[in-house]
Amino acid sequence: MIREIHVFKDGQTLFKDIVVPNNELDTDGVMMLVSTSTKKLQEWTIDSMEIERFRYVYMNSNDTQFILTMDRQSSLQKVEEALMRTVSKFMTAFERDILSDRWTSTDFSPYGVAFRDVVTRMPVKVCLAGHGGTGKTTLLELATMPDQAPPSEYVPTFFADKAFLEGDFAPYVCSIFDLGGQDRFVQEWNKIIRAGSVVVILSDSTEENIEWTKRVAFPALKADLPYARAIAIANKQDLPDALTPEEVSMKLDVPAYGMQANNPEFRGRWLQLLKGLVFETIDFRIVGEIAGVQDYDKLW
Amino acid sequence: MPEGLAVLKWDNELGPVVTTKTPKKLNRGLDPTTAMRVYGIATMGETEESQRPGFTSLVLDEFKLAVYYGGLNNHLKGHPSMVFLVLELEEDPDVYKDALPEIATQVFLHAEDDEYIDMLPRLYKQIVRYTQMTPEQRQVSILNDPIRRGILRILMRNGTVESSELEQTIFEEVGKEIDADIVLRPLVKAGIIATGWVEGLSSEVIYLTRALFLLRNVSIDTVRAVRSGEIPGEVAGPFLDETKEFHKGYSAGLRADLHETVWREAEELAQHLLDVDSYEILQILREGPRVTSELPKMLDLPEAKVKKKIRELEKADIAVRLKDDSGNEHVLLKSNPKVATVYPEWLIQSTVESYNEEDIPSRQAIHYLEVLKHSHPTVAAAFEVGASD
Ligand SMILES: Nc1nc2c(ncn2[C@@H]2O[C@H](COP(=O)(O)OP(=O)(O)OP(=O)(O)O)[C@@H](O)[C@H]2O)c(=O)[nH]1
Ligand SMILES: [Mg+2]
Repeated sequence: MIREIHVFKDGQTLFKDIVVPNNELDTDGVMMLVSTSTKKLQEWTIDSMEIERFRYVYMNSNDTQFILTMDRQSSLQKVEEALMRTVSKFMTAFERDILSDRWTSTDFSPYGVAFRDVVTRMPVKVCLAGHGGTGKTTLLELATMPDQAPPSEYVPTFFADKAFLEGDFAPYVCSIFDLGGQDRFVQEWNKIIRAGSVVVILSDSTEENIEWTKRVAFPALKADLPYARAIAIANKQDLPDALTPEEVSMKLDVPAYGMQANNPEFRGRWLQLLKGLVFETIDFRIVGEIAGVQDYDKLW
Repeated sequence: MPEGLAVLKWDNELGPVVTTKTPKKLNRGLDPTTAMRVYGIATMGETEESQRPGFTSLVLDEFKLAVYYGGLNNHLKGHPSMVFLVLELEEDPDVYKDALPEIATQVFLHAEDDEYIDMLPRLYKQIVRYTQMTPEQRQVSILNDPIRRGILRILMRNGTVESSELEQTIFEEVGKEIDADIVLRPLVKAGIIATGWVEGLSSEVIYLTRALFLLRNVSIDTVRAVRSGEIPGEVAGPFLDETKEFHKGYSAGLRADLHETVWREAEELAQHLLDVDSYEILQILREGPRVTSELPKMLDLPEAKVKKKIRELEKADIAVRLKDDSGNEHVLLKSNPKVATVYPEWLIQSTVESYNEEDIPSRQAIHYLEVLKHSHPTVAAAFEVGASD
């Protein structure tokens, strides 16, 4: 997932677009650091740098520095393609200004449209994780097949399913991976979840599910997606013995949100939550920082 | 007849993606749900250490799939990793279990710069042809591939080699980066090589169990027919002289340097054996001499084409044309190409020597001698008898 772009020349910002702001690092400081490295690069070579859960991918062209801020685990090859596209689009439009002295007074803002297009082309990978029968497929279909009635019987997902979700996420498009949650499939997750930006952890709001999630799902997720951001879904809130979302939050150490995936009325809420997680406007947790994971690692 | 052939790769953000397919309109079996399922079936239980390419077949509601998986390495790197052959329900996917790995291997070997995309329609045609091949032609097709020819060459010289070393040598000799596992798989199945792990070595070790090469024999049936007076004397004499002369030279070459003689013409001979028309002519000539003018009808081919093919075979010293006194042209087999699978007796001695001189790790040498012992024709035959009880 592409988060930001910054274009610098001679220490001046020519263009910047921040789709999801970074509230954890001092962006100006980081940019100063990264652009110094960028300046040293040869024309059209790409390099990258990781800081915490972010990856900065950068390139120098015509003495102009282009820096994309990504989620750290985005596939590097795609990011490089995106950066190439970003720079060539920019140069197609502004090369003459850049090569002359005119650039100091050029209005680069029209470039925003082209940049957002590059952002859209790289889907945000969403992983629906959780034990078999917790409602992942139901939740996927709630989002992607609004006209279809919720599945009435439980058909376990074999390996995984996958669907696109466009909608109210512009400039992003979500690529949702619905993982098979039966025990024999969990060991296959590592083949499927790489490069995930966000994880939605499904729970059916029971004690035993919480225990399973901590023991089995967390180690698997932590091994491959330590920098992804996660929320929990306390599903099946209609059932009489369901733990409350607050209880699920506490026990999992991941912010949990109540849900009834088999009830179409919850579609709006679900999409809001997903959007909030992607744009970081709701409370979430970084997978690698979920408490207890290390302890459970040892047990595993 | 299959409905089509498709190549898929795993994309981290998109899941399974069809990178190319033929015919272009092929859609069946390529929907995301089926593709995801097939990836699941092919990779279930595989880990980075155990990863193995392999053939699987699936029966779905309206069609069947024969698939070949290129292994977790290709899969996770996002290279082409799955080749789908879409079949109608009446078809038996197992018919393709030799052909598909061959074709898929070509795809994986030409993944760089997406070279395989342009090759796919041709490979697809080969699949159908491959299923119609004789066992002889299937063996020849191994020798027709420069990479596997290179591998056999190395193994016939050394007997055993580490797969990482093999990859390196092939890169130097053929100029291609290969994944040994993918290339070797069909050779293991054909009983030509065995693989195994040797303690202390970091990559798998490959052992030759049967040498495979192309030789030229005297065509006994032809000579017999000529001697028994089936063709006019003015043709018989020159034919016998020419054939004798040729084989004298050929045997001398084999004696002087077997490897050099065998490999020098492996590629050329393979091409004639794999050419549909040339092979048919060869099959006819193996039974005895013919008058050229009979052939077009026998083969159901235009005269010009037959002539062209015979000239090619003549150039390759496989056939010879001679005119009799009444002006009829006769075609005869001058040398009969033969695929030979031979127990590599000579490698026992040379392995013992490498062991004594510590050219290869002693464990590897011992393991190879074990392998040779188990694959000795008498032992192997005993196994087969046992198995059929
Ligand atoms: N009561 C209740 N049932 C639900 C709810 N959400 C889903 N279900 C039911 O739970 C069952 C399991 O749903 P799935 O979505 O297929 O489960 P899954 O998590 O995809 O399971 P796997 O594919 O095996 O990992 C189905 O019968 C659903 O109808 C809910 O909010 N309340
Ligand atoms: Mg499911």
